[in-house]
Amino acid sequence: MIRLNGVRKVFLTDEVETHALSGIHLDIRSGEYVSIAGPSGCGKTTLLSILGLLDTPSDGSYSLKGNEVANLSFADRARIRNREIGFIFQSFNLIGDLTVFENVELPLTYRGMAAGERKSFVTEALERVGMAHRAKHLPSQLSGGQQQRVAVARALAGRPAILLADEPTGNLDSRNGEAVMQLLKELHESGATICMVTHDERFAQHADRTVHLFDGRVIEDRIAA
Amino acid sequence: MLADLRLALRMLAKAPAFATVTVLVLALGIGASTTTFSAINALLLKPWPYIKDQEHVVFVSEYFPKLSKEANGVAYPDYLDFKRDATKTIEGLGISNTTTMILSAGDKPERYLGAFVSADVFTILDVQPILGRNFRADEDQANAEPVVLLAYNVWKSHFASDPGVVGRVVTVNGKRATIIGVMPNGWRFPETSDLWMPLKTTEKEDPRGNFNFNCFARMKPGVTIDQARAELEASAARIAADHPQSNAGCSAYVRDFREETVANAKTLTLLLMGAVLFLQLIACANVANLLLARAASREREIAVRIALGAGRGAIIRQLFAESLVLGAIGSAVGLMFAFWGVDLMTATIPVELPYWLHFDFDWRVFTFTVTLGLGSAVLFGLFPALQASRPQLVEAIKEGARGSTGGRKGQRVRNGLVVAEVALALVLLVGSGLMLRSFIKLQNTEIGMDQSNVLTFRTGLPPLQTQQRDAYRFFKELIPKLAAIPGVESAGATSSLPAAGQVGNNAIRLEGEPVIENVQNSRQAHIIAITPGFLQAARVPLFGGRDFTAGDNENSQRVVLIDERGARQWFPKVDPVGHQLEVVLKLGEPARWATIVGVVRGVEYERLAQTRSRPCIYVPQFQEPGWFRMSVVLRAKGDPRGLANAARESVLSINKDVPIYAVQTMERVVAESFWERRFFSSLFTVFAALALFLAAIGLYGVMAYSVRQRTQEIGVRLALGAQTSDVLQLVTGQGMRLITIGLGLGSVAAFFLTKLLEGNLAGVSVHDPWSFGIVALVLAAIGLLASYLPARRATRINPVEALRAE
Repeated sequence: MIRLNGVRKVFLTDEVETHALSGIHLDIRSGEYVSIAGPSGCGKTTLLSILGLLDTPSDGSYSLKGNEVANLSFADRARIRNREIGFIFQSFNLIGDLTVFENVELPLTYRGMAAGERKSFVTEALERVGMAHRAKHLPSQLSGGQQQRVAVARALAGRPAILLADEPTGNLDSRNGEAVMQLLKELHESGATICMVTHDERFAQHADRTVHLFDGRVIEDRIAA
Repeated sequence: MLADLRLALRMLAKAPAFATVTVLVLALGIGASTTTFSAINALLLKPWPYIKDQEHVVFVSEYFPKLSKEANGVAYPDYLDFKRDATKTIEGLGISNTTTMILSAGDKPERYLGAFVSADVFTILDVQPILGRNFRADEDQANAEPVVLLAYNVWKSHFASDPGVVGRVVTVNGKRATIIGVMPNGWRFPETSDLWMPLKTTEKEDPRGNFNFNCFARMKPGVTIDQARAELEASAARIAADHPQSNAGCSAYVRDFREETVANAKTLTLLLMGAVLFLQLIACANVANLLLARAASREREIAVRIALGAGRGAIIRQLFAESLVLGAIGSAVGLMFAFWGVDLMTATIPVELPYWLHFDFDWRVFTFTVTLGLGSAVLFGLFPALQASRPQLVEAIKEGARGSTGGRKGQRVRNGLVVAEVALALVLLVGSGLMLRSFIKLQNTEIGMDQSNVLTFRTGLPPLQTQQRDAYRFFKELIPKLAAIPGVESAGATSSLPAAGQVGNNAIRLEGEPVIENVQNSRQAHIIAITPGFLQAARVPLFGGRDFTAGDNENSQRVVLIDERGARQWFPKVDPVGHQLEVVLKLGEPARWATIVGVVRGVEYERLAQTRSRPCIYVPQFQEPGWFRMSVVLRAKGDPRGLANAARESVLSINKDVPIYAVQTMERVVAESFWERRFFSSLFTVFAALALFLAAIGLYGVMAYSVRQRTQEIGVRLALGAQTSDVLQLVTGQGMRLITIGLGLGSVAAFFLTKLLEGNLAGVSVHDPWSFGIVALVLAAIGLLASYLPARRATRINPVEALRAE
């Protein structure tokens, strides 16, 4: 589903070059649950940003479902993000002024989906994460764990090809963190493709494959026993 | 889009402080603009009531193009010739002459402003009475029965809306006249007339050379003003050839009726509109700055939306929807402000407005307000929306990232907007400063008389009813009576009050000069009829010779006084007293020489806002025919305002049918003589003050935002040992740099734009260095204060907390 070939990312700051990623080769197959691990500053988030089409590689190719997406326009990238990618952020990034339902509905709105269809997609997503009863609440009325479940529902709602999770437990206590990991596992078991960035080895082990990064390079790509 | 608007309303409801400030800033600009536009609408756009096909009605006059571009009016015989000649382009030609009319239809005589009009005037304008009939074509003949048409308000107030009023016989100016109809509500043609009577005159009474009448014409369908002008010019050329003594060099002046009527106010009103649009631009710049700051605080939210697949279009649409909502609410509140603004504006106009000038709101005003609101939304909303739709995605989404839309670029834009605000405010302030200085100069104009403690009013006998001798006796008896009122120091009467602008010109001839052959080549002077006592009451000093006495009457030698300007121009090397001159009333009549018996100080008789007076010649009221009504001048020992009742009783004790009217202090007469300047300079000043206020809060907002953004940097500086003064200098220095650039750009713009005020300033150059200098200083001081307040807050930053927050 995803193929990165020789992807490099160089940041230029005041004429100083910082190599965040150096020649990444990575394949993610449909239905896989991949965790990307590594110490702080190793390039995990940069890699996830490129995978999520939030950023573009300085060099190399990126194909998603067989289509080259490395150098698409802003609008095309937005369209693909909307249809093919579901994001789960460390800090949930729910919009405080929208209700739970509206937050989950947001990517479908941008897709131009009819209201009736949106409603059924949102309800289904909220039911999958067990938050349907909180549809009318605002994010501020929920606990951290509940907010992250809503964020997962939002990522799921559009039935994307892949879920990208950036430290999804980073802002949660261990109990809520475990619950979210359990949710991702269930999603994976029901067929979802997931790519998760984490620096926590315990959570990395939930995935069936772990890619270790160090100084912008893949130093280990291990499939769980 | 509907969903975007709904969401926008919700987002704004969640930020009430932001929404309130933005709406108020916008409403101030929109309110001021709508108020001014309502004046433009009334002056230039709205059709006048009742006149059908107004675009076919033109103003006609005669003028001497080599002497002046100003219209003189039309002479009665020339009007008859025009009517006869211009048949190809003109459908109807009418004339009018406004005058005071005393209406007696019961116990109490009432004074109204009336108009003598040619009998077909309302037919030409296509205006029908609501009761009765129009004048018949033959009713302006000398032997026709006198008839009168009433204005609606006179019918209502004087006749209690009596439906049977038509056919009633009343007394107008002492003569019986039959009421033949009531004109529609609001019709007071040509400006504020309440009664209309047919003009009955002859070529003998109003000969050529006496350009006494207002004239207007209805052009035939399909005819252009140029075509009508060409035909009337040809007619005027024929008249000039046939009557060179009065008309040599005289041509026809044809202009759109509205253009001519609003000529004086048009330029200043359009300039005022320009000023308020500047104000609106400043308001838009302020709102754009607020939106940029708000977008910065929403950067993460926008980034999330984009991460979820929102295209730029969707983001721009949503942010722009908020601007549209702000624009719409700003328009609604601005409209409310404008309702008050128009009331306030109307209340400050000290004169009665013409019947067609109403500042009420019609569809044009509403369309303007909505368009301005939406246009402003585009102006202030589009750029922040465009910029916010391109956040640094990865940075913005990252945990702990600072919201800073646009980074340096955003700051540059905000700085640019402040520079623009300061520059626009400077232009407005310089404009208003110039107008204010001009107004103060006018206020301090030396008019040649002592205006303090003087009460004036108008009174006299109706000319149709009485002889000149009666008028003479009336004032001869009245003036001593008035002077004897307790509290009155002295009294006199004059045909024209100083600074009132109600003064005409006449040709004059000095002794030894040839007979005047045509008017435009002759010496010209204002002729003022006065009674003995006027010079004393007005405290106009006599420089030589003597004042008039009761002995200067119809039986004595004809005498005049001249003013110092006349003395200088006409008798530069000799004492004028004892010399003779002739005031020419009608060309070709036998000379009526008068002896100069004294020289007095020059007095301004023109309105102060207009051109300066010519030399004046004073004649005794009884020696010159035609002065039936005069302005009385009472010099009081203290406050003159309490003298009106006693003065009225004195007048009624002489003639119970004679009212007094236009009662006002001389100070008010002078103030009214330049009320337009005061009116416009007040409005300019209000708008400039608003501009200053908005620019100041704009600068304050940007500096406060910048300090917030630089909290950590300032914390680091303080941690590294920066003193309070260093931080103050850092922040105020940034503000002052922006102000200096704004002042520089604004000064250049003002240098060119103030040229538009040329011709509307009295005694002040459009590049008056005082106005430019003071305004720049005031703006710099306000700017310094606006930067100092955030700077002072910056000095209180706790470096430990600032660094920990990072």
